[in-house]
Amino acid sequence: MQLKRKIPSLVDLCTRTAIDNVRYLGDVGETDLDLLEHILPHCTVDQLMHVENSTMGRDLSPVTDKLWKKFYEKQFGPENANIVMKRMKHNNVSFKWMKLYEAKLKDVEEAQNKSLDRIRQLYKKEDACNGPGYNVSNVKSNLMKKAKIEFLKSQEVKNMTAVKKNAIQRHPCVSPFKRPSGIPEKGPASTSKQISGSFTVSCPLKRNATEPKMCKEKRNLQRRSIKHEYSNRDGLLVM
Amino acid sequence: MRKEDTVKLISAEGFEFVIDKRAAMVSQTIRNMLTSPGSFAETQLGEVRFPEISTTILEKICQYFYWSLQYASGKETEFHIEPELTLELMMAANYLHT
Repeated sequence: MQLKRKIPSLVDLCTRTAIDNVRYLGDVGETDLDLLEHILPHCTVDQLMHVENSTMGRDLSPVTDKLWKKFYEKQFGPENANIVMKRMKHNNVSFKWMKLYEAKLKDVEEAQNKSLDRIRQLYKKEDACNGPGYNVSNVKSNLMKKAKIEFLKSQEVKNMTAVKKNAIQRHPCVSPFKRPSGIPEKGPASTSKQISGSFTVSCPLKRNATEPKMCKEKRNLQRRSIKHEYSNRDGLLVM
Repeated sequence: MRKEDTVKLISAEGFEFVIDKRAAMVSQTIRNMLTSPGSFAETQLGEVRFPEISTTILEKICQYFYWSLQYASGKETEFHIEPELTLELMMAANYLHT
């Protein structure tokens, strides 16, 4: 009967509709495994997970196990998959690929969280070092100590430390962006760029590279403020 | 329609669908039930019961039968299937070899 061959069967039509609507699939009930063979390969990881979880009291693994194996290989690499297979063989156990996939995903997430925590800890430590109090222990005379403290209290230096802190905190996924308090006009000479816009985020590892530059700035400022103090008196410059 | 040219399909809920014999024969299963000599009670009564197929699904199946005849005669249109019926309809169609 040639005509019969031309006409799409109802099963075919339904299969096509199911594939088109695979994102709405949930509990597949008692649907034949042969029919599911045509439909489920069109699912994404999330869709397949949803179907498996919604179809309670029924084991779909005759159809889905090979699909999960493919997802495993795609997500974690064929080498990892091979390692897992070897281990299972060695220990004479066999696990469903869906369980293996879920377990591996959890492992990867945990490892990621651990490394993020470590980064957070590192930043916390840095912040603690830049904390309150002024370090004037390397200055000998009392007058110089006083001068240095006044200098450190000055607005310009406060701005620069805040900017430095901001550079650390702007590193992604550590803490929310904090605007440095009170940057009025442009800062001293070298940082001629606008601070809010194009400030280059310095990576923690590279911070030391910028330090000497900043210290030089501090020293320049120091010289300027001292010049100001002494020029009124004797005209003598004390360095 | 003469009675000899029709069959009655009865759903799980007891709904009776009276359709053309030609339409019903689209299903291989029904064709076998109606043509094999004397082995099925259905041949005598001209009615088939489907206690596992719900009314909505059976109705859709009958629609498919008529659509199929239309398609065979040259009028090729689209047969739309509501997504929520898909899986159930697929299982019934599989059972009916259609």
